[in-house]
Amino acid sequence: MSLIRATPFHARTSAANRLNAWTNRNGWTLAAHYGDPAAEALAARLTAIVADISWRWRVMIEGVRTEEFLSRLLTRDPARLEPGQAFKALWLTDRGGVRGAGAIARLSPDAFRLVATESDLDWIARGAALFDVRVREIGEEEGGLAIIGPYARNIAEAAGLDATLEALNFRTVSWRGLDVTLSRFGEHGGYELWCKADDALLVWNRIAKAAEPFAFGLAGTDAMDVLDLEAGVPRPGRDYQAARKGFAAQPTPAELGLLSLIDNDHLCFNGRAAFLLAARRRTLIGVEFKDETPAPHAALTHGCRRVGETMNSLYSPALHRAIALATADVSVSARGTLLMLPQGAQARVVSLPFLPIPDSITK
Amino acid sequence: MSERKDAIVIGGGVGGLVAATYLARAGRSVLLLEAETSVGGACRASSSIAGIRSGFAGSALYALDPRIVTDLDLRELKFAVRDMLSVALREDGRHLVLGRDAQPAFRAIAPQSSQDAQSYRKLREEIFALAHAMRPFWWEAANTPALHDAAQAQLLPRLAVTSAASYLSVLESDALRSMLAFDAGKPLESGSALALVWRAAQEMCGLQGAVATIQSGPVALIKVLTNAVRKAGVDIRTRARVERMRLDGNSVTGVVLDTGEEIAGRSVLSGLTRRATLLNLAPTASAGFAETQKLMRAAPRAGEALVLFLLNAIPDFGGANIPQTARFVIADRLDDFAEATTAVRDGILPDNLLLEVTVPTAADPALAPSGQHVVSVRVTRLPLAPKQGWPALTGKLFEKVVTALERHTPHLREGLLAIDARMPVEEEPESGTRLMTAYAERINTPIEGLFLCGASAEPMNAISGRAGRLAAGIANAFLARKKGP
Repeated sequence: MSLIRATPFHARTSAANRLNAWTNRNGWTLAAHYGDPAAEALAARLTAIVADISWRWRVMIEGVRTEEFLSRLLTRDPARLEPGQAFKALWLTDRGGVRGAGAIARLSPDAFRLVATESDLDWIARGAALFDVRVREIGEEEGGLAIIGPYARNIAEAAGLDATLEALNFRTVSWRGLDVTLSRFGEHGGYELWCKADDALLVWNRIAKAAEPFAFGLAGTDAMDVLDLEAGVPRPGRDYQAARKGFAAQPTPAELGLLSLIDNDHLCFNGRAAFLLAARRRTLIGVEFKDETPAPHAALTHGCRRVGETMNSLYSPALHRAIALATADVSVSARGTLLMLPQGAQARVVSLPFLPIPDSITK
Repeated sequence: MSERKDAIVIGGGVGGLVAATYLARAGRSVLLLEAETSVGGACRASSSIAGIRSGFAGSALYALDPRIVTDLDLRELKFAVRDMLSVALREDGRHLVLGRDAQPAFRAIAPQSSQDAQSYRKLREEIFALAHAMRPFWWEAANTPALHDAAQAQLLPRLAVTSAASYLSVLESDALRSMLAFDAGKPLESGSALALVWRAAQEMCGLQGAVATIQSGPVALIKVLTNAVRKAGVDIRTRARVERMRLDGNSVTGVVLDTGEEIAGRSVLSGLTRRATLLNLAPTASAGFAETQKLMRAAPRAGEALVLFLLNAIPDFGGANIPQTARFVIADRLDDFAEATTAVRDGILPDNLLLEVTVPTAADPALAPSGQHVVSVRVTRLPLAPKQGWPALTGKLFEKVVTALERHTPHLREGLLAIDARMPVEEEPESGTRLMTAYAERINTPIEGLFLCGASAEPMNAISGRAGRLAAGIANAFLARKKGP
């Protein structure tokens, strides 16, 4: 990694990170945990957590032909988005391999913002250049906080934010003198609050103060990974290696369980012809282990046949057992199927997501 | 919007005319769109010199598809020379005259180097045998080369990554080596050894590896093809420049002319290069982001110019003993190819030009006014876009060509009546990979219903028509599969 940067919230996270448990994601220094990752993951289900998500890869995509470009790039048609709306979509290689997944938000007729877990600047900027569309990384300019948990809405409201927002919508508001964007792009319900880097500490202070009565906790990346896994969403870099060559045919959307991010009526996205032709022998499954030991990237067998591999695997404090996402033959994807791990341990296929989202208490 | 056609053919070059004829004969409604005032593509390009009829196309043909001649009933086609001699012109006067026949060739080589005569015998046998075995792959739509001989099966992948220069390094005479290298196109590039085999796999007038010229020039080929295309019932529209293609999702639905007129078609066959078709005519990035980037990176930089001279007498290339109906190759040393490559990269004229010279009027006097003669010079490996620009460089090119020719036919300047040139145009880059790709792969595009039918779908850039014939077959199968409205 060439450059390790501190997020705009670093002054606050470092004060809270007493164990100095740091990790690096996309080149950003982040707290892995603030003492007890299991407790942090549970807090998201019981009260609320606040997490620094400034590491997410964010780009502004602007230009007269932006809609045309994104329509070619993404597996859903951005023409359907009104300003203020967003959707989640994939982008594929020419041969239908998954390069990335993210939320795309329409700011104005000609401006969009993409938020993803992994950078793919090369592909997107080169593609955009064909359409005279500008792509600008805004990771350094803005910080982001996620507020997740049953009290997420209460915290937002207590902080003086208008929290009435549908999922996959966002709103830019002036919040007592600070320009912030409140969005609901996350897999875990809750909110994301985006602000200018210079305003980050003020924003942190306001949220921390508003969250105090709700017994909130800070959550590091370890706890967020547990939540991601419990939500059944595979992540590039952690769960699978995204395609990085322009003509790669793997991984396919089907084997990553990402078919729901592809709009069948959207006819002209990159890689569609190959996507339609690709065999769908594999699919994404969730497996639960009997004990608490995770088994990441392990072979799964059924009878004597190797039928798949686990991706990331973690201990879920809410389920009291280890869980994993896996890509496996469709033939073994039925709920309840017993699969074997190399050391003889058993894994049971369960339906995804492992747990419902830690939703707002007001619902 | 006019009535929808089964197939729209873009470009009336040899490939386009052949594809249109085959499709129409298969019962498809076909519209051929030609941007210029008449069809013919490179073969038609006429010279501004008054009174000459030879046109600009390299008058030597070596890859015309024999099946087209029989299938399309092109029997009117007459050849002025059926089997041209190849002559390597040397400054020291020790010219090498190489026929297609083995024994005379060995005898001609022996005085230059007796060892080369032996080596050439082996080389020639190897090349001709492999060439013959490769015909199903290079002549028809075979997906992979099927070689039954184990030695050949080993040789093929080796040649596909070997440069002609290193394959020919067993030869010690510069004359023989550079003449053979000239026919490989880019002899220093990996895979160019296979180009020699491909040349040997071609057939003209029933003779393997022969080079021929058509009576009345390449325009005559266009004439008979135009007759065939009209007889088959193809609609031809000239001065119809296609500006872009229309797509529905990933399927082609027609074309839009520069006048704004829209023409609907169930399939489109393009005689242009893959690059021009997918980058200029298809909607942005519709070929795929990676494919588009690849095409953009592969911008060709080299091309070949054609220079025509009108002389008041027949030249005497190589002296009185050598028939002027031969084709003359001027390429002194293999180093000249490397130097030309550097010059192309720098956007300048190379010091030593690589030339192929023919005298079309030697066998076909009717091409020029009585008593006058045409010399047609193919100047290979020139920069497509030189730094100074072609208009400024044309005079220099003429001067260089004349100087190069005068070394072999003195007093050329004195008998010079007129001079004309066609500057390099973009062509599909040649490579070993392209030679090892099946026709179907070169003809198909990432866009459904869009096919390539011109020289860029051939294994090498040459007037052949084979890609047109095979593209028609592929397009016809596509149309049959995609029945309905």
